[in-house]
Amino acid sequence: MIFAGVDVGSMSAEAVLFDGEKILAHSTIVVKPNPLQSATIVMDTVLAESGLTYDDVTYCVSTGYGRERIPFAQHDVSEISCHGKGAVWAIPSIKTVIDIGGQDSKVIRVDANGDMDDFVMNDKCAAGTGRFLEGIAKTFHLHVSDLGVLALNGTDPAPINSICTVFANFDVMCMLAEGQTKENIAYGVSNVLARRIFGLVSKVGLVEDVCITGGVAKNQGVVRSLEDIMEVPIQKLPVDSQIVGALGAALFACQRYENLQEKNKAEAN
Amino acid sequence: MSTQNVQQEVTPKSALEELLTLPRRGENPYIQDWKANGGKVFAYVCSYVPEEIIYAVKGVAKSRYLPVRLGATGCTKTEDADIDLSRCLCSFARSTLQMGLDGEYSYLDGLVYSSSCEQMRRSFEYWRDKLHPDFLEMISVPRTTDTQAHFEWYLEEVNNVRLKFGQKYGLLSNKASLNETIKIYNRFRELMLELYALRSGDAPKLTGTEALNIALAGFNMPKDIFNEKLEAAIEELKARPAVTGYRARVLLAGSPIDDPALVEIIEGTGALVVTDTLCTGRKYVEGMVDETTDDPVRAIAKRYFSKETCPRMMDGTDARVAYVKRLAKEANVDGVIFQYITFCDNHNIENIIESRSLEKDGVPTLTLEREYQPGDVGRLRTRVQAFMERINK
Repeated sequence: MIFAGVDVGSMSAEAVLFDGEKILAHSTIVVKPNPLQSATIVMDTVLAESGLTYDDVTYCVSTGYGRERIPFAQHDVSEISCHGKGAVWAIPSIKTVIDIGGQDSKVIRVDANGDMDDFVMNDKCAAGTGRFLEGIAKTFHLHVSDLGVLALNGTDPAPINSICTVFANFDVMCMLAEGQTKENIAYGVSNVLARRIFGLVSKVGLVEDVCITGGVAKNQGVVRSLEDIMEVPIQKLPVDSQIVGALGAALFACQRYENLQEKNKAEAN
Repeated sequence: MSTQNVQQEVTPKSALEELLTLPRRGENPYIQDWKANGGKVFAYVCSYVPEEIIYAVKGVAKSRYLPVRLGATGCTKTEDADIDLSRCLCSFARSTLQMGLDGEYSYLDGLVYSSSCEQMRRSFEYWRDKLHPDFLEMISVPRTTDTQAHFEWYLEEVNNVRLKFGQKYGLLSNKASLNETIKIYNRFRELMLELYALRSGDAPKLTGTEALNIALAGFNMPKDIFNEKLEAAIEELKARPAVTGYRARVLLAGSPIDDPALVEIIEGTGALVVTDTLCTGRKYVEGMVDETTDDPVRAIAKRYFSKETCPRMMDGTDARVAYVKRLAKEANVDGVIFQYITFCDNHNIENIIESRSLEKDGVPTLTLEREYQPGDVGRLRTRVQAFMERINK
């Protein structure tokens, strides 16, 4: 049996195929303006890679901000629950999941089953999200994925005071004009984002083990800053951090299908 | 078939249907009637303005005064108001000022403000300097409620505004009209609490969205007519089947809510709002005015000053924490949803204090930041849906 999870976020969309025990395939794309289009493309891609069709999928769960408008999904679950589920499947000892996404950051406290005990999300502000980093990368004429390496090469983090995405960019431009190195600015940017995230972590309380999911988890500069501020190690995921939401959705698809089967069996008896 | 259709069209709305769909502001037929009969309409800002002192003003037969709560539902932009305002003014204050500029309040004869929060207090000056209503007064409300001196201060402020009506229009309330009004308002509170009981029991008879629509009708029509309608509506509600299919019972707390859109978003995820601690909700209807005293103005002021307090008060935090816990327990809720309008510091900080205390007791809580104008549906839905998943895990 094949279970699918599809996660349409604000910046990227992911799909995961799961057979009840292992990940069969996964795919990631940059989102289109229309969430349904993104979901269809990323699903088409992952199915084509595995030589499968929509008919082969037993049950599909959608998540992410476009989750309610995906016609091939039988059910939708919030991305908060999905990141918790996916992370604990990947590392069973995880208790705290930090997901830094494109427009939302969240800290999720999970139990041993990966079910959510508590969560907090960012306020109505892009500070502390992937958008923040993307804006800074643009100012440097770099791709956002290059920002982490740049930050790791910084030695003396530039002091960035503004926590506003727009004004931090302005700060950065002024610093460049004053002759600060890109490396130190990137280091400073990582620290600002990490402090913002640490504020959220403190709200739910820090319980080890901790991992980071979402696209920003790939930014080694942010990971270093977060470890420095939290003073605990961040566990390295054995799967691509960006697919954890879609993986969680696929796990919920599997769980929900099994529950429905049991319910049907009980009713038949 | 066709005759049936015609009959359906002319069948008058039931009291419940009418209260659920009553148009707002100038479109409201009761306000239109009131004006047509020579009555005046005054908006008040915040629940520290005692409505009774306005409603009790009586002159020749029909020249009566109707207090309505100032609201700005349906406001979609604030760019004209923004020109002269700080960017930190909350979107509720902005929306009221924008609607003032847009002429949405042309049915009003004046406004009575109270110095409730800085957001609203600073918008008072905007009304004074830009919008020039015919009658505009401010009740200065002390920030502590625990001494007699503070109460006397508030009472004097209330009395001053009462007398201003007399100076301006030559009409005053008197003991008899005040006592009559007190009875009407106390009856209103009794009925509204009965409506709360229909929501917070084991088999809720109405949704939070419906309850808010009924409350909004109550803010915008004469209370004696509203009481009759509500009495009938309560009978209709008792006779109908209970609400089913919800995933969790929640208490709603935080900034004032006068737009059903937010409650609709919350209930759209499967939550059922069975009670609240809102000043536009439960706090508005709790606490009776003493009907037995010889000094009705003092009795009215006493009720408004000693009701469940707003977080703008420096004292009363412990009482407010105890209040939210008591209501959560009484209504047997699965969780509490706090929300605040951006820059509503009083509620934002109060929410943190109350939610920490509830979580310590094992009551799940969620806090939402929002704007006054509805929108941002996806962001809010994600948070409430996740909260439902946390409760139902």
